[in-house]
Amino acid sequence: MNWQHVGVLVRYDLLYIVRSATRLLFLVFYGLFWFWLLWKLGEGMATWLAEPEGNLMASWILEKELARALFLERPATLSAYFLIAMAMVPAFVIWGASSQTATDIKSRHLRFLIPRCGRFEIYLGRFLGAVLLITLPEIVVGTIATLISVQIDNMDIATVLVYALHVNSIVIAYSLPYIAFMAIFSAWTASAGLAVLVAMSIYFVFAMVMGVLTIRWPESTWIGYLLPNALKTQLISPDGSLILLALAALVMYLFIYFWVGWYIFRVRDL
Amino acid sequence: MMPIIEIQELSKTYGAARALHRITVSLERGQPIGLVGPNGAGKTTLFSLLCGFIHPTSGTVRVLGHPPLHKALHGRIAILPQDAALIKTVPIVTQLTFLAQLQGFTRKKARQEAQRVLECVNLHQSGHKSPDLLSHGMLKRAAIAQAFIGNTELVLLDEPTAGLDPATAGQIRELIRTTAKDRTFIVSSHNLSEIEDICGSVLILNRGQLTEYKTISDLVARTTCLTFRLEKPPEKEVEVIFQKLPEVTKVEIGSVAKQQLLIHYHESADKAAHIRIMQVLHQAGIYFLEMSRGQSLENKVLEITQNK
Repeated sequence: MNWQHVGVLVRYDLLYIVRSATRLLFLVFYGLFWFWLLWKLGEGMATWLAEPEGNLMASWILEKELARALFLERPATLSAYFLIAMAMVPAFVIWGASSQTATDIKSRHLRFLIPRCGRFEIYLGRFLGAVLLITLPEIVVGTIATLISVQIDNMDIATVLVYALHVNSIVIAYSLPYIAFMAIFSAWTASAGLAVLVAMSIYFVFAMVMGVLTIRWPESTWIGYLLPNALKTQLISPDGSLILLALAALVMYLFIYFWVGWYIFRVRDL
Repeated sequence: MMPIIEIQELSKTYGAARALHRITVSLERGQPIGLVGPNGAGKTTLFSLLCGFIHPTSGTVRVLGHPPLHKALHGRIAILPQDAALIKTVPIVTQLTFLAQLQGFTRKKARQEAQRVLECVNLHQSGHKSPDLLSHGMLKRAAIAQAFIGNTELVLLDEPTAGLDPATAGQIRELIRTTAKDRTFIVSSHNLSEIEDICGSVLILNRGQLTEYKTISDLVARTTCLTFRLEKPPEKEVEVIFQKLPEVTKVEIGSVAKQQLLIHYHESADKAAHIRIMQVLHQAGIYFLEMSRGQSLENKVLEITQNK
């Protein structure tokens, strides 16, 4: 593999991103969503969760221990950001990472690239382009959330910064398997819109089916681990060993999805 | 010398449709090769297989001694794909610069190379524009320009002049002619006079099968034949009127264009033979609309593809 080719392809993709209406629309929507939420967090929306009444309410939704760990022992604003970000990762990534190879398979633009570089270089270049498209805004939003937390949470800066590093790393790590997940549909459907539709359908139908299955057959919970959102509980838990285990599993998801996507891209006619 | 392309028993099917069927051919470096055949003959499929855009159903392809997609081929072959689009919103010169960088140029040299190829296709003044602001002909020229980046050994051009005005088409033909010394071209076109003009040999595909691969001079008589387009189809026994001309060796009525009459004559015939042939036609009351020396490739290809 020629890394110089990959570097050129990533730069090419980034240039493409800033000139693509659909991808800019994603960034605008992403920006507006977080602008509104961070504004609310900045007004202290989450600080009341650190108070006894608020924490009691939080423990109705989350487990009592988890609510306590997130909002009493750690910066509440950053924890609120963490929970919302983790909940939104699948939706944003499915949208933002849908066009990796799809648009160019459809337009046959890849035919200009193939005589000049390898299929794997193209696939990897587009994957890395999608990783940058998703993670750079996450870093920006995560940094703003951290600054807000430093301002309004009643914690020392070092604690907030260490926790911010933890939160942002997990949000980014959780996004990566979904980007690889979208690489599959992007290569398969050859249409960014269709890739979103198929991935969303699979994600939501799977979630609904799992909901019904686990009620009737509790032993079927393992099926839920076909998608990385089954790991969300472990990733937000305060238990370090559980987090490490979940991160290791995320790496597995990443490799498996990436490989399946690559297999489809390698064998398909372009 | 190693063939530039070696194809063995190559087949490609799309579901039940057979695009190419058991093609075996070996193409040598040198003069441009024309790839011709009616619509659906498999020309674009063959180009796509050579470049690795699509995978064969069976058979093997070797380009410059390597299978398609082999890293040793990167930057050594170029193609003008028939239906590929440049990115609509990125300026042409930027896209060509990136493509040149993929061929190993540094960023600065790549930009110079992009400008050079844009000048070759007379598009340098519009290079800063994005494709959504260019006309169809300009887009075609931009796509042609990318096929001329760097020093590739093999260039595949799928319908290079389709949709271009006659002046620009002439420029592109001239560009092919002048650069053909350093690289081998394979040009697919429905414009057979263009193929005749720029190519030394021709590969004829018909319904997914290889029908002929010959030099054009072997395929069509260029010097010892006169082709007439008549006002009306001649009588079947038209050859009788030429019996008094011993230099006439063969008289053919066009198998596809029935108003066409091909008169072959002996190599040793003098230049006045043309006059005598026209006199015989005049005496027989056969009038023509057009006369040309030699046999046209177009008629020959039509004859081959429609008779098989």
